[in-house]
Parts: sequence; C-alpha cells; structure tokens
Amino acid sequence: MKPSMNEAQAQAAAAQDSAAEGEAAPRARRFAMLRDVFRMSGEKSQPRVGLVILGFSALFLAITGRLVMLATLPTEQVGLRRATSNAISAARPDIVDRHGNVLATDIRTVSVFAEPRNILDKDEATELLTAVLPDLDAKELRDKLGTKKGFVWVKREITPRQQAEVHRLGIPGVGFVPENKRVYPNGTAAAHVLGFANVDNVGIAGIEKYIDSQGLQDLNGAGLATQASDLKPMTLSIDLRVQHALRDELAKGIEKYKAIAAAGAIMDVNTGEMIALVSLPDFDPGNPVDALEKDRINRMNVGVYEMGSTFKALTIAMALDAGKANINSSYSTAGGMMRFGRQVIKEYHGTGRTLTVPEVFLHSSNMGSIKMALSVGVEGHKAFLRKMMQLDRMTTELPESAAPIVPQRWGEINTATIAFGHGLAVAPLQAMAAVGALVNGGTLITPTFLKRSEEEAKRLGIRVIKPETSEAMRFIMRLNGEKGSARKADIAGYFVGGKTGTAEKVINGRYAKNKNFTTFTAIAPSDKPKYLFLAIYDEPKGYAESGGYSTAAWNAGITTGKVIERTAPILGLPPRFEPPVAPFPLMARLGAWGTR
Amino acid sequence: MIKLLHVIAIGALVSSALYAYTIKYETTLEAEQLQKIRKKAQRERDAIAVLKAEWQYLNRPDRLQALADRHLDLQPFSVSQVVRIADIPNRGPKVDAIGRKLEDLGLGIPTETPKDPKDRKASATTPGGRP
Repeated sequence: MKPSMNEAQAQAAAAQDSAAEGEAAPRARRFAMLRDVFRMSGEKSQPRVGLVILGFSALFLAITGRLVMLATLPTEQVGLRRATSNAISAARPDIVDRHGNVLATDIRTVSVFAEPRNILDKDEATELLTAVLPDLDAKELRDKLGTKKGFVWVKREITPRQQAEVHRLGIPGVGFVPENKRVYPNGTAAAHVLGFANVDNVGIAGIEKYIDSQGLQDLNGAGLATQASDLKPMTLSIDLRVQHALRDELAKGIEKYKAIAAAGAIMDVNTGEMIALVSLPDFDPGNPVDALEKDRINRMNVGVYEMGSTFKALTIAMALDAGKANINSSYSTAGGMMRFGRQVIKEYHGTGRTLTVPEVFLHSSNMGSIKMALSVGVEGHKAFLRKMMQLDRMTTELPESAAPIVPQRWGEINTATIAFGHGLAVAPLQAMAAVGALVNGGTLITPTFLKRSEEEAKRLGIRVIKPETSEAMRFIMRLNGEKGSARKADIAGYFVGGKTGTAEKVINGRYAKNKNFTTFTAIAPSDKPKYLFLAIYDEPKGYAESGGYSTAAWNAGITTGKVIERTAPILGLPPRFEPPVAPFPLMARLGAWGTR
Repeated sequence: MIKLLHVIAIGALVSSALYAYTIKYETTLEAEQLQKIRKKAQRERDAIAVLKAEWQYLNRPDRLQALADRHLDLQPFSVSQVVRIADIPNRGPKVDAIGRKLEDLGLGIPTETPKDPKDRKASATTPGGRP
C-alpha cells in the first residue's frame, strides 16, 4: 500500500514537476553546486579559495576607496583641532632693529570660540556671552551660532578677566584657544618700514608682508612653526633711536613749515642699509585703522616725485664720467634763458656770466646742466639714467613700490628738463641710491632694510661711475655745503656736503608757482662719506625768519642740519675740529674752482 | 626539590611583576611631571615675551623723550661741547703733599705756582674749534 502510495505521489509530483521543470531545475543545480563548494572535500578547494580571495579583495577595495575619499575630499568631518589650527593666528618671528631692540613681537592671548553643533540652547548662550563680553553684537553672534559649522570665533584676544568670566558661565561647546597677538611696542616709529599684520597674524604691508612672502605662510599651512621660539628674529638695518630722531625733527618741521607731508631717510652709502626711513603722516601699526588712507603712503618708496635740482648732481656726474666735461669746463649762461621750440627755460638764480662746473652746481644753474646733458646727448642721457636705476621700478624688501614716471617720447626737450630734475618723477629712495653711488666711490648698491655687511654690499654693488668722478661729486657737494645753498646743514665738525632741490608741483598739468616740493640731500663726512641724509617737504610755506621763502634750504635744509646734529653722535660719526688734510687731492691737482 | 623550584619561580614572577609595575608608575609620574614643567616653561616664556614687549613699550623713544624733556635739564649735544685730548691742559707737575700742607699752615716756603700761563692759554683755545 505504502509503496503504491509513494509511487502515486511521486507520479503526481513528477507530473507537477514536468510543468515547472524549465526554471526550477537550473536553480536547484546552482544551489547544489554552492553546497558542493562548502562540503569538505579536496577536489572542491579551488573555487573555495577563489571565493575567499574575492571576499578579501572586496574588503580591501572598500578600505582603499574610503582612504582615497578621506585624502582627496575636503570632508566636513574635520575635527575641532584641525579647524582651530587653521583659524588661530600663527606665530611670527620677532623683528628687531640693528642693535636688537624689539620692533615687533608676539604675545600670547586667549580667544573664545564656539562649536555651534554642540551648543544646546543657542539663545541662552548668546545671552550669557553678550552679558560677559558687552562689546559683542548679539544678533551677529546669534546668527553665527545658528550655522551648522563646527567652529566659529566668538571673540578674539580677550583679557584674562574676561576669560575667567566666560569660563564661569560653563556653556558647553564654548572654549578657549591660546593665540599669538602681534604687538608693536614702539608705536608709530618705523611704521612704514614694519607695515603691520592683521588679527590672523598675516602680514599686510611692509616687512611683515615680506616675511610672509619668504615662506612663513607655507610653513604655517603645513602645521609647522607655530611657536615664536622656533623662528629666528629678523634683524633690520633700522636704528630705532635714529629713526625716532628723524621722525621727531620731521614732525616738528611739518608744524613749523605748515607742510602737508614730509619724508626723510638716512642711508649707509657703503652698504646700502637704510638706517631710518620716515614718511609723515604715518600710522600706528598696532592699530592700523587709517593705514590704507591715501595720504598715509610711504612717500619714500611709493610716491614718485620730480626731484628738482638734486638731479643736477646726476647730470654733472654723467658729463664728467662720459668725458664730455671736466671739473674746469665752463658754460655760458648769458641771456638767462634757453629756447626749445615753444618752450623757454629760465635760470632761477641767474648770474649771466660764464660758470665753471662747481659754480653750475653752487648756483644751481639750469642752463649749465642743460648744456652738460645735451653734450652727452639724448641716448647717452637715457642710458646713464637707466644704469643709475632711475628709469625702472626699484624693488627692495618692502613690497610697496612705485615705478618712475618716464616721458613716453624722450626728445631733446625732455633731456633738457630732466637735466635739472623736471619731467622725470622717481621714488625718493631711488634717487638716494643714485646719489649714494655718486659719492661712495661709484658703486650703485640697491638699498636694503635688512642688516648687511660691507663685503656683501660690495659683492652686490655695480660700478656705475669712475672713482675720480665720485671724488669730483663729493668735492662739489662739500663746496655747496661750505659756500652754496646747503650752508644751513653745514654742522661744524662733520664736514657736511649737500644739495637742495626745489621743484614746483604739477597741479592739473601745470607747474604751480607757489606750491613747492622741496628736497635736501646731504652727505657726511664729505671726504669719505658714510651716511646720506634726505629730507623732503611737500608744499612747505614760507615763514617769518625765511623772509617768506619756501625753497628747500629754508625747510628741508634746516631739518637735515638738525637731524645731522642730533643723529651723528648716535651713528658714531666722530666730530672733527680741523678740516681733513687734502680731502680731494685730485681736485686740488686739477686746480678746480673753489680749491684755490 | 621541584616544589621549591616552583616557589622560587612564583616568587620571582611576583617580584618581577611588582618591579615592572613600579617602574611603569614611576614613568607615568615622571611623564606627568615633565608635562607640567613643560607647561610651566611655556607659561614663563609667554610671560617673558609679554615683559619684553612691555619693557620696549616703556623704553620707546618718544616716551623717553617726553620724560627727559619734563624731568631733566639736559641739552642736545653740540659739537662745541667736545674737547680734543690735545686741547686739555697738561696736569701740573707733581706736588709735594707735605710741603703743600706746610704751606697751608703758613709754615712753608713759597712753592708751586701755576706754570707758564702763556702756554696754558695757547692750548686752551677753541674747545671744539670750528674748522
């Protein structure tokens, strides 16, 4: 019975099966194969191993993929540490002057931050924080806390007392980070050289920006060098005491001469180091709210000006060096004027006689300078000025600089006017470098704001004129200091030489008769110059003692004299009681005007 | 015998474990101490930086100038105040101290008189003589 039953069942099943056989049979077969694989049997081991390999490969692929994702995508899952290290202000090296006085340094302060995601009650947190830090804007803070960011600043650089108070509030998700704050203990002194750094300690101007451009920011980006002790202090060529003295005298001068601006600098002519650089009005680097106003520019470096008669020194040096003139050459100034097409150039201090080269310099003769420049020719003039770096932008460590304004078409009339310092506007620092080369023996050294040795300067310097020409220039500058327009700066004992320069300012394309731009360049001591002094006033006015004159000798000249008197002892220039014996041997041998 | 060996081995094990733990705890303690000292040193460094900045702030030239103008009777240095070594008159010849005393008492014979006034005059001219 039973078997028959079974048979009947089997038959029925077979009948059913035959209907579904088309699909069920392969499935069953596949299932059986899988079961075979896992049955412990030697001959099936190969596909088993293959399966394991497949599994592990998938696992490793997943891990690799995730790693690649983490490495490439800037995920939002940055930790707090990462966020803060990006946001807090990095350490900067100290800046010190040439004697090691601190000009800029970092101090530690504490900043408050918040993690909006972790703050439970944002309104309460806002209320509490603004109660403790009253100068916070409540609405702005609420908006900040409302974001989904992992990290926001609440307030930078708080006081220790405020820190204690915020700490006592005990708001979860609010914390402190120690930060570096840049301080400039000397206030406005050397503002234009130092520049300043913003609240994130990123250099914005001046040497501070230069430091960043030297790779500091890259270091910080890599998470290195966040401690000031890791960084070597940067030694500038500036002497803080001299810097202050120069600024003080210029500030007094601005008041006395009612000028709209002033600038000044002192340079070591043998090394090209800038010992002091002042531009007034200036700003406080610790609070540079007005630093970017237009009248706060660094007039030594960013302003370009027609330097007036100071350029005559370049013209004379060019003519002497080219051999077109010697110290005894003479030039007629009869008539008192020269005509170039429609333009007429007049003598300012007309003498009407024939002048020798030193006299051309002493009387600041326009005609003499023009004749000298024309004897060299337009191309020669251009080449000489290019060699003296007067036609291209001069780059120093300070990132701010201006290109000179050179006439687009340079004809004879341009050479004539540039010969006496009109028609070519250069940065005063540039002119200083050139005058430095004229007097230091003929080597042009690009000025620097970092400390530099004389050997290094010698290596970098380019010979531009002959030593004999340089001696002639020193001679005529000294002569001008003794007998000429630079007498106001002839401080006894320092053997000062100098040159005044008064240029009329260009207002709306015309030279304004009563608005002057005055410069005074002085060297000390003239027989072997060590320092070059420059003072500039923009629109100085005449005053009672000057008889209403507002030319350079009456303002920039007097200031330079005071600066020399005040700073020479600091600079280590020994006063001398007798004039040096035979300071200009070559000039004496040639019997130049003024040596007899 | 074997029992004894076991006891010794167990004893050695326990003591070595104890020793290892003491070393570990000491190390932890030292590490903590080091961390503390490091932190302290950092605080000191920060304080030094602040003090340095403050020192320079108090010594900034414009403040010193203001203070000097207010409290001191100093004048700006002038070349005419400098004298050369050669311009300083020579020291007089050595004086007999006892003789001087006798003279002061009115007992002595006439002694030293300032020597050669003409010579002195010549050397004392123009301190800081202008060239």
